[in-house]
Amino acid sequence: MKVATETFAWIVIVLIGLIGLAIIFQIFRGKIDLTSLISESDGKGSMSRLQFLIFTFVIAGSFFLITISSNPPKFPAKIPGEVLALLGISGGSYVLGKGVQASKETQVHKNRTEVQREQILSDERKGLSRRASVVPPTVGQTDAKR
Amino acid sequence: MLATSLEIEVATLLIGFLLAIGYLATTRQIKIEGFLSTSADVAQLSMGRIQLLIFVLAVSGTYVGQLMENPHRFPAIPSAILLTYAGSNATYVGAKAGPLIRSFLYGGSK
Repeated sequence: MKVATETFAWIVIVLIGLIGLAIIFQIFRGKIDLTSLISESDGKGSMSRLQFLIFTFVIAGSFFLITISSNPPKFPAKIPGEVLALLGISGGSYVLGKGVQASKETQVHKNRTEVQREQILSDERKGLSRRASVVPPTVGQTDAKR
Repeated sequence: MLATSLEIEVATLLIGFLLAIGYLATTRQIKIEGFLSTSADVAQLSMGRIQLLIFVLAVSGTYVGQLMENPHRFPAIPSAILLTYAGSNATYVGAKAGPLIRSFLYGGSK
């Protein structure tokens, strides 16, 4: 039973390691596009994304360090509320920032659509008035001229 | 043997991801233009963003520093620091949402 467990553990370790290394290798080769990792959809840098990234690495690193510092290595039995709060604040800010950005884009889209609609209506009005000015005279008008 | 391999693997992956992101950021393959500027104008610096950057660096630096001193347990984070950090984030989100709220209140085209 112990041999089977160890074999399974080795398979999982090798598999995760290979997947991780493949991802890192592809990032360095430029095959995985991380251009917009810390920027908004409009292409500008995003502070909320940056802080979320920083805290993800900081908290993941601290978990790792605490786990390997105990002998034998042991996952921490209790995760303090303050650590969760720290991650929660940065995550919450990221989600709110994303919501605000989405609302802004919707607003911009709505304004643009309204402007386009106004433009179409104005063009139609111009076309109608032009057509009205070139309407041929009625039969009564031509008789009166004669 | 198993535990050591796992430790090396996790450390390699964490450092590898960090290096990859750092490399892409320094070679400008990750867009960072307009990081500290307002949403509307690239040339205008945003106080909300600057203060958030300072707080993020200060809080994460303190956290890592405390962890290095005693890596056997999670560092104690005073609730005052958490509140300040939450306030900083609220300021940032508030500044970001400000123009949107104004446009809802006073009309979109203004």
